[in-house]
Amino acid sequence: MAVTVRIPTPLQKLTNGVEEVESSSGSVMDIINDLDAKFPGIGERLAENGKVRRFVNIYVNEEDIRFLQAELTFINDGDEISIIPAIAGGSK
Amino acid sequence: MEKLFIPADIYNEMLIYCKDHLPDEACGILAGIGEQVTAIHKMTNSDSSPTSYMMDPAEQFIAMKEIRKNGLQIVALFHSHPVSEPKPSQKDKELAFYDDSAYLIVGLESGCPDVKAYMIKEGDVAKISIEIV
Repeated sequence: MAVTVRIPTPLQKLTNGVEEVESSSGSVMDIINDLDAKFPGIGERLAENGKVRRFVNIYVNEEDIRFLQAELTFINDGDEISIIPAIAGGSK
Repeated sequence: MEKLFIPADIYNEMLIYCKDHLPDEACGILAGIGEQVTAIHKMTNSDSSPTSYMMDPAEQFIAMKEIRKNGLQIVALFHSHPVSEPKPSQKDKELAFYDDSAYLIVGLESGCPDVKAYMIKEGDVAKISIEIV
């Protein structure tokens, strides 16, 4: 059983419209690197210098990785990862 | 998307929510299909600021799962500008990741809500119309 990665609509243009991608168990960064190998360009949208970007939220099953071990969180086979770009802005 | 169709009750609920959160910016998601809004998700602004917003990530995650479960899409994302006109700021443009959804801004500067909607793609802004149905 693999890891399932749910790709959000705004990033599906980088995955040729694919909504779910399978990856292998490993750290969150391992999985981002694997995604980037499959879909070049997606990695830099998600992470920079080995850190998940500030306005990208990543969940493992129901847990925000910021409350686990962030980029080092180990993802097991059967887990589901959700990538959720933040919704933010404001007048200044 | 060139036009948004928003039911009057949802539109009014959004305006009341934005006014109730003054002096801070308020934010939320309008879900539906295509250009038609059918549901509102009022979200917590975790910035608690009159000039900035960020939807609470946990609430956003739950709302997006519910929207998907109900077979709906994110039609529009709304937030208020309590002290400025309803035009996308530089920050709004830089953080507009959901370029298939409309960005709706509720201007409250004059006391009378002024609501405008835009498509924002890679920093380019195009105004779209809103029809209250």
